[in-house]
Amino acid sequence: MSIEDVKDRIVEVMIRELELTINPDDVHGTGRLDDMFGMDSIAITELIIGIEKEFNIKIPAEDLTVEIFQDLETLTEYVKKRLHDETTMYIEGQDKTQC
Amino acid sequence: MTTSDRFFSLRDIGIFFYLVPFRMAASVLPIGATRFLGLLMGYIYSALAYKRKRRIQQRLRTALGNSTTNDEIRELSRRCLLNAVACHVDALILNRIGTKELLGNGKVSGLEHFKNALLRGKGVLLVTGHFTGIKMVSRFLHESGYPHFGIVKRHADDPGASWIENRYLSQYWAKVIDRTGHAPVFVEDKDVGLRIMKRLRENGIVIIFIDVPFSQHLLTRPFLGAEQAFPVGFLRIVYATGAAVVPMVGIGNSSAFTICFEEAVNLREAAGKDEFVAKKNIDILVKILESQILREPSHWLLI
Repeated sequence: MSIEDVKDRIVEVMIRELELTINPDDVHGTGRLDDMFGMDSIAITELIIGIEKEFNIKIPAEDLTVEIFQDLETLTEYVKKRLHDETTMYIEGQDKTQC
Repeated sequence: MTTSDRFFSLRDIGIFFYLVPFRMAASVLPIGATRFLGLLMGYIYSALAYKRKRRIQQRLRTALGNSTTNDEIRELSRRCLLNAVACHVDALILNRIGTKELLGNGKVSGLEHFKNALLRGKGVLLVTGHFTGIKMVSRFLHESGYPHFGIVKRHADDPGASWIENRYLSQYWAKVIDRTGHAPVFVEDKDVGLRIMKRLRENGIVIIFIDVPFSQHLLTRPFLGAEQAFPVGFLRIVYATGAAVVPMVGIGNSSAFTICFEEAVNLREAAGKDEFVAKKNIDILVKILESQILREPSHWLLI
């Protein structure tokens, strides 16, 4: 999945989970998430759960930091990396089972 | 922060006395002597603060109805003031009391409810009000190895406070008293949601005070015979995370206290988060808070 695909899906999650009435093109990558469209600190928690469901990933407690949830760019990069890590872990698990 | 018409009030002198000379004396005096001085201060405050006492009596009358006699209301209002002073004096000596001695002075009930809620593995929100024993609860959880924090406001929001109290004294109070020990998380912080989520993900504990309207998300509900705004943002977190909600009340001070954990609340399921919040779930929690207060009205600090 390309980085643009990940970003588009995160924006879809934002709009759906936070019930935003905006055009996806209005969401810019470097704007602070907590300032975006009246999003507050509680909305961030809803966004996290939405992203986990959408991408079928689990964001561990140690990764729930301001740095990662700073803006759409940092969040997209994180989700992309997380998807890669979880896929690698899954493949390694499959290999061990076959051995 | 709110502003007041008054630049200065007599209460400012009392707060200054508490925060500077009394606090310094409490750090060197024997604990028993500090408690005795605190008791004296309580009686003096109870005798002088007649306006406050009258407000408490009106509130108690509204909450308790006509089944309570005037004498009982007067006695309750006096005890409210004495307990409030004892609670603040206790904050100065709490860190000097050893764990074994402190826990020996308390009774904890319903711990199985709390432990069962933790076994679900999705974190626990302890829901309570501002009762006298809240610092004991924090110390108990800390000493028992349960990671936790409470969500509080950074600034006092007292419309009756003077400009000096709002501008200087309340901030100094928060700095030297409230922030010692186990640091709270401030509702004004931008990362408060992330920190709550992180703590719940670690199957930790977050203490939510529902008797103050600190959230951006409020609902006004009937409460103790009047109407009051309640924070409901935490219910959206419960909806998203599935964390357990356990009502809890802690009353008393370091010389004698009780902590009571109640059974985890079975919140009503709903199709969406707004419905989850509004569909009687906040009413369930407000009713629980009401019953806690009515059991021990003189230990509720916000009366």
